[in-house]
Amino acid sequence: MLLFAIGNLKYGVTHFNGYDLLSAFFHTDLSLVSHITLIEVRLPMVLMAIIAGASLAISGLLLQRVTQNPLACPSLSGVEYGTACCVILCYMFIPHVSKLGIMCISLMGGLFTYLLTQAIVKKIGATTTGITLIGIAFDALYFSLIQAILLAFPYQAQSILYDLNGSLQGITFNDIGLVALPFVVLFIVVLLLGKRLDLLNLDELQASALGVSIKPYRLIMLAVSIILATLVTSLIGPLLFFSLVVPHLVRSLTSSRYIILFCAIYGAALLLMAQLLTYLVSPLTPPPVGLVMLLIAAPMLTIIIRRHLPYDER
Amino acid sequence: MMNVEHHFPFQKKFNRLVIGFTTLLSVIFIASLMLGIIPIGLDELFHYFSSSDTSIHFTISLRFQREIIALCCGGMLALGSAIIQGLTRNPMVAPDLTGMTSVGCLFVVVCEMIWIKSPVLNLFLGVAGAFLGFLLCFSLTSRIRNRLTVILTGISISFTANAIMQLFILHAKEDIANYLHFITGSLYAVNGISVWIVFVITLMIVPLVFMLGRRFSVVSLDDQTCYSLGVPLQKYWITYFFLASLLVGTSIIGVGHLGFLGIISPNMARMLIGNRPQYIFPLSFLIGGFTYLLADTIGRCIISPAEIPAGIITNMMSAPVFLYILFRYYRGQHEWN
Repeated sequence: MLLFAIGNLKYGVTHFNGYDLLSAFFHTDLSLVSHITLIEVRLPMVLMAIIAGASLAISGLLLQRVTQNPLACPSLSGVEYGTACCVILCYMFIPHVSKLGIMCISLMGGLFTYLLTQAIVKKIGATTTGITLIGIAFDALYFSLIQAILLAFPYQAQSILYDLNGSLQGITFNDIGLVALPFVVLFIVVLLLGKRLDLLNLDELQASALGVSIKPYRLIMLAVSIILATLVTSLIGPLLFFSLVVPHLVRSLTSSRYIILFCAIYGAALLLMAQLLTYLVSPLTPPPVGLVMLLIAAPMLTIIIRRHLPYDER
Repeated sequence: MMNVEHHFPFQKKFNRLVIGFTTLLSVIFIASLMLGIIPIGLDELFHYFSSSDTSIHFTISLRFQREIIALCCGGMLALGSAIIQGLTRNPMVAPDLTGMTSVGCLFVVVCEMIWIKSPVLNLFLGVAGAFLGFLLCFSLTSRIRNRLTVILTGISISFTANAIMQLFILHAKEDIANYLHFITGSLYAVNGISVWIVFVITLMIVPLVFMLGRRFSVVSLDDQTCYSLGVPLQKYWITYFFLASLLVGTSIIGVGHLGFLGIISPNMARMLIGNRPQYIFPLSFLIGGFTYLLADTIGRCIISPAEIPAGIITNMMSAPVFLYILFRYYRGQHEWN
């Protein structure tokens, strides 16, 4: 992860060597152009990538464990696009809203979407694949809604258009400050509660037989998962499939004891790697990192489906 | 004396439905000719050949081309989807959900970017892409029995193809707008030659498929029954699959990647008349064409002079319908026999 972080700092429109990096951090001098680029532009981006990668990975892991569904992830239950849609609606209709306000509103939007999809799932009585399909239908609905809004109000739309694919461009220290505190708090909560993660494999009956009350634990984990996902999405836009893939990657690599920590680290590393890739592909006009992520993650979805759902006839 | 009512109990209902949908279609066709940035009155429309106003001539011919292509492409997509659903005996399969349209779009876009732009070549590439996308999806899921898992695999294939395509489009040197309709399914950049190609192929293939529809009924039985009836199933598969790829591939060069339209039209037809291919094929063609034309008209008029791509409108209209179809599927209410 560190390696990728340094790589991200180094490569870009202008390349820096190691000496520049060291001098920028230890003898910060804001009159030098290179130092300003590094500190003000690159560093927030890297920090944001770490936070976003870690929190999305944790969110995916928790959601998969809580719902016992190997394909659960915030983007496949409509949460991420719901959040993005709320963000854009806020920008459109409440012109002078602060970022904090947007984050709160989009949090509500994400939670609402999740509850809505879950209600539909309950009503339909869908199984794993059905749940995912419902999520995808919601994604498509929100996506087209966003596109329609953007096309209907083209003048306000220019600045937000780039957010749609999940991009780390234009992140400042203010954004980091907003997201860092909740992230750290939630991260610690998850780490503290994480020892009991295996409890989620039990159902109600087994849990009550063991004398643990599993319902509040499940609810807390679910809430934390959704909140983490919406927080990140409201700042950088939806990263499709990212939080689905990372836990599956990590599961094949480590044992379950420290899986949350590993998930966070791998998630951050993967996102940083994708970001680095975007700069290596085209330094001047980097494609949105969400696109590169999609390119990596969508084929892996096929593999995951093949591995986890061989004969799941309803 | 043969009693038609007795042998074909659904013929009457089918006739009524066809007449109803055709009427709706022609109403929306004429309405859509009249609406737009330049409104055109009904009398001007009727005196099209005798009038000498060139601007109105031009507007009407542009709109006419656009509507023809919307009708043909929406219909062909729905028809292709009906064929695939029948072949795989899976009511949840559609061209966009098995990666057919997006792989086809990818082929077309990449060819236009790095080689030459020619509508005829686009047609071949679109068909080849549809073919390959379907083969890829079904070879990946050949051992999987679950009907919905096939779609999930298809969706991941189509997301991959879409991502590659978007990367290509972002790196386009010039005229990004020309390629955007491959993502959103807009009719903005329709040109004369592709209209002709689409129209001719529709005229050739669609009646053929309608005629073959009655024979197709036997394919929706299970394999063993087919063999014992002496049906050359392999031959049927290859023929129909080729026809379906041709239909979907042709619709790609017109409208690009359309979400959800392919899955809802045959299912709606099935809800109306039951699983009878000879009736479903014409009905799903009509429903597909009607939905897409309606979406295009709405998208063109609602915020004119700007326009919302029709694909976005169809997405918005059909995602709830898709949820409803999924609901019926889980209730076991899909009319599949």
